[in-house]
Amino acid sequence: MTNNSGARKSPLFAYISLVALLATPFEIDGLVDAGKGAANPRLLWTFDTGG
Amino acid sequence: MFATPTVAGDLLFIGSCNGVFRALEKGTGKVRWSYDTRQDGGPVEFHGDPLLIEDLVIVGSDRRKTGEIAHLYAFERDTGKPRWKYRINLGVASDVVRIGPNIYAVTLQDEVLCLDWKTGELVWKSATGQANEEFLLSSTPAASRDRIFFGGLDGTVSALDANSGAVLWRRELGGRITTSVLLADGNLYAGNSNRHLYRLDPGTGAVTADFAAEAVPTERLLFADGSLLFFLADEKLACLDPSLKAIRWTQPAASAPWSSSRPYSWKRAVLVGNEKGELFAYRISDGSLLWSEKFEGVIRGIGHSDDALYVGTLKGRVYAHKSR
Repeated sequence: MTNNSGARKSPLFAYISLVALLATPFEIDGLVDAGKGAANPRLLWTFDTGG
Repeated sequence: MFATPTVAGDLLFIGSCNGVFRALEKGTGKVRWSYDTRQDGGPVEFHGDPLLIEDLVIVGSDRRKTGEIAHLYAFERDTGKPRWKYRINLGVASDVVRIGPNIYAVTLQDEVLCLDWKTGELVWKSATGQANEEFLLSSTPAASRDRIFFGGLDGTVSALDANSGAVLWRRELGGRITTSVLLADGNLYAGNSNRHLYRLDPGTGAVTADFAAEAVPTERLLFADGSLLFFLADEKLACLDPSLKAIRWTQPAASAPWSSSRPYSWKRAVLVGNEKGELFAYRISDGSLLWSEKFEGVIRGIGHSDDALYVGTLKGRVYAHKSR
């Protein structure tokens, strides 16, 4: 794996990036799927109306 | 967002303070349709709750800046297409009510509008003439079989003939009406800026009871399980006997000011939220705490279906939460 400058990234960097990506809430048009793995197991979904 | 997320069938209707009105699938949160008021000269804001009539969702919008244009909208429930929209200067920030073929809305300029709900055509209009330079939220009216009861910024409560708009009676209460007008159990209730909550005779407007409160009664009044519930500013949730002679219980805002748009009735409990995102359910009969939940953000509107609560917050996040 290389970055824009051509420097090679370590496997550890790739692993951390993958974990960070998976931990990011999933959003489509305001929908934030926080139900799975969230601290509150009763949470079904959340939606951000933006205001 | 301020308005109550409102369930109808498999949809959840949400009006936001950024001028977008959406229908979400209540089970998944996916957008079924949305309407952005910027296409009408907005963005305006949605503060009142939607009124559902047959295949329409009727809701008022209001504006906070000159140059923006507010409307009362009637969206087709399944598609979001506006069936009609009625232009209103400052707009409508309270709930819309219905009697038969007509709907009734109170504008931010202290007017009562009566429109045909199928066409959006104006039937009549009545105004107190009171200015509203501070953009104070107007009072949600109450409807009986043939009368509209309206609390004005001018400190009066009025009964209007629902068909003609003629004033049947008008009662001066000495301070701006700060709550919704509530018709319950044959009585009319309204709170004002002089820290009083009144009970009136809906037939004559005579004051039949007067409760002197320690703070200004605010937001919508709730009548549930034989009790009258309301906020005293953002400081206390109060539960009164409908005679207004006895306080059944109060709940002070302990960790943060109360912030929900009103007290909500839910399975013999009253739901209220605060600025720390804490949602509390109190038993209406005695005020005991049944349960609480924590969310992120300042809690505003709280909607519900049979099996879920929908909690809206000030910055616009909505939480769908499996009910207990």
